[in-house]
Parts: sequence; C-alpha cells; structure tokens
Amino acid sequence: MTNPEVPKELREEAKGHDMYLHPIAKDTYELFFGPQHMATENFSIILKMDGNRVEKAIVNPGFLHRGFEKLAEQRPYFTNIALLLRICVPESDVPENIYSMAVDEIVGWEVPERAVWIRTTVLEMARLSAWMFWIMGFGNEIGLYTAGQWAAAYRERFMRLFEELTGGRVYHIYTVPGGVRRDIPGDRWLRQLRDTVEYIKSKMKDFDEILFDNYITFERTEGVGVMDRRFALKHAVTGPNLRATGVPYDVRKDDPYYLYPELDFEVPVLKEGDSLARVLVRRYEMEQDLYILEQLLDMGPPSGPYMVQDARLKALPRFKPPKGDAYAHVESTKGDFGAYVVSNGTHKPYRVHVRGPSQSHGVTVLEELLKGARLADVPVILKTLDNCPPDIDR
Amino acid sequence: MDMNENKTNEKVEETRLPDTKEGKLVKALIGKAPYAEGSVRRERRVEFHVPAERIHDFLELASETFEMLMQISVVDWLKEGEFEVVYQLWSVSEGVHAFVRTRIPREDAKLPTVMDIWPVAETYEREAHEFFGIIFKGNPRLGPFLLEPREYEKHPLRKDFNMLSYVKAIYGDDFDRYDESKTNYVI
Amino acid sequence: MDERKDFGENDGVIHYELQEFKLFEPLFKWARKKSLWIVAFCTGCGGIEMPPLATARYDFERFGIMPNPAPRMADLFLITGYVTPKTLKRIIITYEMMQDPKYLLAHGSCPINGGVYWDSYNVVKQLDKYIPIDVAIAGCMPRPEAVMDGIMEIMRKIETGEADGWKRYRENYEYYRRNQDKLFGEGWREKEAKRWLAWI
Repeated sequence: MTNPEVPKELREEAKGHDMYLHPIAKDTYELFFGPQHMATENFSIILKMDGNRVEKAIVNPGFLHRGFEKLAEQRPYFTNIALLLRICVPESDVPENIYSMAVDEIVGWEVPERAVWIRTTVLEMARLSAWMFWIMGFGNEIGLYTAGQWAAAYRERFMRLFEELTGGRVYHIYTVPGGVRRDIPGDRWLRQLRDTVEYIKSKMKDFDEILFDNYITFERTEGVGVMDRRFALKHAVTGPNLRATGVPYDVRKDDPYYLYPELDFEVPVLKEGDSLARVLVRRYEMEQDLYILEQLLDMGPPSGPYMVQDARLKALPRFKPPKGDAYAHVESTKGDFGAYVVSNGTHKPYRVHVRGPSQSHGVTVLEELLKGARLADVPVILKTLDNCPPDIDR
Repeated sequence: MDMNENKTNEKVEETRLPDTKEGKLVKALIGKAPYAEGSVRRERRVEFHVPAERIHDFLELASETFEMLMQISVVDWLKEGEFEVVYQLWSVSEGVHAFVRTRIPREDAKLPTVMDIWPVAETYEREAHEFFGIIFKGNPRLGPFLLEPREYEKHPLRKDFNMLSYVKAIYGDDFDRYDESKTNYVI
Repeated sequence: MDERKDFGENDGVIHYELQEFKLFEPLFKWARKKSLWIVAFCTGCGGIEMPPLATARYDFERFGIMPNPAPRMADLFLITGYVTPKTLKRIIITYEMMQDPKYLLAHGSCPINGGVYWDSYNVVKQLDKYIPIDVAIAGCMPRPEAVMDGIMEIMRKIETGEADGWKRYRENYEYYRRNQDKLFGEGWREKEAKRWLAWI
C-alpha cells in the first residue's frame, strides 16, 4: 500500500537511494497544553496535533475567574480600588486608573494637576516594569535566560520605587477616584527615579545585544504567527500587536488622557505583523517610555493638592456619585485596557465591566494564529501576543 | 442612561447635534439608519439607541466607520425587567468611541450574533451568555467558558443571583466572617 | 489483582517506616531539605513574586531551590494565591502526581480563608480541606522575604519531621476525597478529561 499523500518526487528520490518511504497513516492526537506549564501561566490550550503541527487549538481559560464584576457590585466605590487592581497582575496600576477615570467622569471631578502628573508617572513606571517582566518571560521562552535574569533584576528597581511611593510592591492601591492616595515622598524619590531611568537607558544596549539583535530571536520569531491589518482590526487586536501590523493606534495619542497631549513621543509602527515585528515594536516602545519619563521628570510635579477638594470625600464609605455611566481606557503594555462603570446613584457601583486586551489576543486571535504552527512555536506566539490570563478571566 | 429621555423627534435631534466631527459622524450614520437615535455625549464619545430587532443591520452599517468592537457590556436592569446590551465600538480612523445600546426583555433574552461582522464577538458573546444567559443566535460556542458547569447554570452576574447565600450553601462551614459576637458579618 | 503479588507483602507501596530506611533517615532529611524543587505551577497572583525570588535580588537557588516543569521530579508545591474550583482540580491532580515525600506551601491569605475574595462564588475558601498544607504564609501579597521565611520554616519542619502533609493525605485520603467529591461531584476526574474531546 502506498500513501497517496507522499509526493511522487520524494518517493522516487527515496527509491534512488535504495530506500522505501513507509506510508504513514494520518494520525492526530490531543495535547493538553497548560495550565501546569511554564509558558501558559494559568491558562490552558487543547491542541489537536498532527505530528509536530497544530491542526486545531481550543483555548480553555477561566482558571483565574474570581467574579470581580460581581464583587465590585457588593463593595463601596473606594473599596473597589483594592479589588479591581488585581485584574492585571504585572501592571496593576492600569485597572486602578481606568476605574478612577471612569468614576471621575461620572462625578465630574477635575483631577488636580499634581495628581495628574503623579498618575501619568505611575502609569509610565508601571509600563516599564511590565516591559521588564515581559522581557523576562519572552527571554525564558526562547532560551535566552540571561536576558530574563537581568530584566527581573532591573524590575526590582521599580518595585523599590513603588514601595516607597505607595507602600506596596506589586499591588499599590494608589490611584483613587479624585486623585491619588498620598503625596510623593520627596525630592529624593524623584532623584532615585531619574537615576533608575538613566540606568535602564544605559542597559538598553545590553538588551539589544543579547535579545533584540540576537540571531536566536530572529530565527525563532521571524514569520511565526503572522496576522495582517484587516484580520487584526476584525479581531480587535490592540496595543503593540496591532502596531506591528501597520495601524498606528495608541490610546495615548488617539484618545489622550492625563498629560499625554503635552508630552512628545512617537508611536512605533511596523508592517510585517509577525512575532518579530511584535517583539521589535515593544523594544521601540520601551525607548519611548524612557523618554516620556525623562520629560515628566524635567517638567517636575506641579504644586498643589494631590486629591480633589470635595466635602463628599469626608465620609468615604457612603460616597455617592450621581447617576450615569462612563467608559475610560488607557494604553497598557498589553493593549487597550478599558472599563465601563454604571452608577445608579447608590454608594455601590451598579455595574463595572472591564475590557482586557487579552480577551481578544488570548482567545480568537490565538486560536487562529496557532493553526499550522509548530509545537515549539506555541510559547513564542503566546509570549509575543503578551497574553495575560487574568484579563480574560477577571 | 434613561431611554425615555432621548425619545425626541428627529428635528430636535438634528438641531442638538454639534458641528464637530462627532456630530457629523452621528448625522451620517443616522441618515443611513433612520430607526436609530444618536447623540454626542462629549468629545470622542457618541451614543446610539437601536431597537433590538435592527441591531445587526445597524452594526453592519456602523462597522464601516467603527472598525473595532471593543466589548459587549450587559447591564441587568432588574426593576425594569430588561437587559441593556451595550456594544462598545472604536473608530481607529476617526478616534471616536461609540456606545450602541439596545434593550431586550430579561425573560426572553435573545439577540442575533455579530460574529459575521467582527469574529472577535464570539468571545464577548460567550462571556455575556455565560454571565447573563443571553442567547446569541448563530454563535456555535455558547456554553461554559470561564466557569464550571455548576456556576454557569446560575448565570452569576444577574442581579437576582444572591452571591452570599450561594457561597454559604456551597462552602458552608468554611465561610466564616462573623465578628466576635457571632452576629454580624464583617466585610 | 494478581499482578500485585509480585511486589510481595508491601503491596507495591514503599513503607518509609521500615527499619532499613530509619537508619538513613537523618541523611534523607538533610538531602530533602537542601534540594527542594518547585513545581512550575504558579496559581493565582502570587506567581508574580516568583521571578524576583528566583533571580538576583532574592535568589532562592542558594538554598537548593529550583523551579522544575515536571511534577514527577518536584518536592515542593507552592500554591501562590487564591484557588478557583477549576484550578483546584488541576492542583489535586498535580499534587497526586508528585512523588512522596512532597510538601505544600500556601502563599497569601486567600488559600487560608478566601482573603479578599471571601464572598466570591468562584474561590475556594479553605484549601486545607481538599489538600494538606504544611506551611501557610499570610498577607496579600506576601513579600519575597515572607516567602523565604516560609521556605525556611518548611526546611525546619522537614528536619524535625513535622512536615507530614503527604502522610496525612495518604492516611486521611477518604476525608480529603469526600470533600473533593462534595465540591466537584462524583467522578470529576474522568468527566474533566472527556469534556473537551467533543470540541476537538
């Protein structure tokens, strides 16, 4: 019996070498990938494999579902900050900010200048520390552990700064509706932040040499997981993943918030849409974030109060915003992070709905991109999409 | 927020629209779809109210300017007996966010799927179905998604789902958040 | 079961209480204490403090601790945060896959009593009912120093023989199994694997 799927040339070439190609029946098997896997982090994919190729992928999220949206309906407005920031673990300032922005809009508060400066700085710091975390994960995935070790060590500098500013390493509970929870500790902190920025800037060259300009990275990522502009828009891909397909959409430019209209930065765009483009877009954005932080430090924090002056803030647990709803979104390292808050005039929100970027990256997009990929490319695609399971599950 | 507020005749609607890019966008879309009501909320935020039976037609029209479907939010208005489904759209070319609102009865919650317009809607619809029990006709993957089948059957984000009594029933003795006098819950 | 007879009177189970093993027990304890390998299964939010622990600033490799992908070769299971029923199924399967002796360290307030998610419908409130915990670290989230302290505590307990969760699990298997079945329903192990095949 000959296998009709073996091409004729191959069969003849094998005969010429006195060999015989054994017919291989097409055999598929199921592979349960995660959640007990280094690459997936509490996220599971069921792969239908044909040899080394993925034929079909089914995503199975939900390992981190805690019912935030239901819990937020049971707690007062200000208590919710301590809850909702757990939605995005590597970048916990983003959920705080979107929720605060939405509540600010419902109440109609004008956040004081100083608080706006602090919020912008904190968001940029969170972005940089999340980039470091991403470098670590990506470096480990493709076997460049040195880059991962460095990035995790540099991230500690930001953790220390956050700790001094907010009191917490990972969860800060810092941005609250109406401003921020406490003031900047002093000029020393600003000097330390500047030192850190300069330090990371000087280390970017090392990262280039070991990770971004490395032959291994190019070989592992070039042409893997390609998506085009049309596909990306239909699948609501945002953030660096969208910019790697040639669409210059950045919330900081297109729906500006905080100090971003006054800041000078570029939105890096690449056209290829493959994993390499996604990696390089992230690398250029890191540079832009360092530049933004430098500008913010040059500007210096404006003087004034760091919290809005309102009599209603005297009794926080009974704080009642007026009826209304608002949608606020910010640019996180993973993409467009949004929150939709509905108030019905009581002291608890009527509905809080969070839009995590991984809801599109991690489910439909991932299932499409994995089709036809090799098994070894699965972690690469996962990491270059920067899939963050808590966004999907909430 | 309140639908009755916006029930004004078309002439008043047109005069209310400001002469900005948002106003022009709303006007162009309303011109193509006279069954919808549109308004401008603020800079870069517009709002549409669409009857549930025409939602698919409207979103198909809207997808020409609003390229991305960011989220499908569902709000459960228990007293009115209605689900408010909000399609959050974003226009990359214009830089405008649109809320497309529609209302459906709680008992017979059915909507057509918009998977054919935006494939990503599959995930959002699965989530809305799981948490609220809305059936999106044409979506083949409705079912337990994030939750286990036991919680899925309850549709936990509905307002009539009592979380405390459910948790007490499932976890029983482990659930201990009384104060020292053992009378009040401590949050 | 005729095949069982080949194993002799031990029924295929190695009894560590045998005299031959007791002689070398201090050596085994020292070796176990100094080479704790962690299953790379970071549940919940505490997983984010693992990279700092494993890298330059806190570096737990100096204590012989190393993350390891395979549960068969691991000794220490870190439950790094809240546990949902869906994860708990995987945790139980992974825990049962690990070889004896195995130790379990619960990280954060959530595995102790639910923590911030005390009223959530999808978070397990008391993990100790389903699998035995050896050491629990309170806090949300615990700093890497606290985790290091917890690991030192587990090392001390291994030395003194107090870390006996794996023995408790074997002896009281009926109790743990009953609690698990009460939460998930009978036959959940088989059902969970079969549930996904329909989609493929």
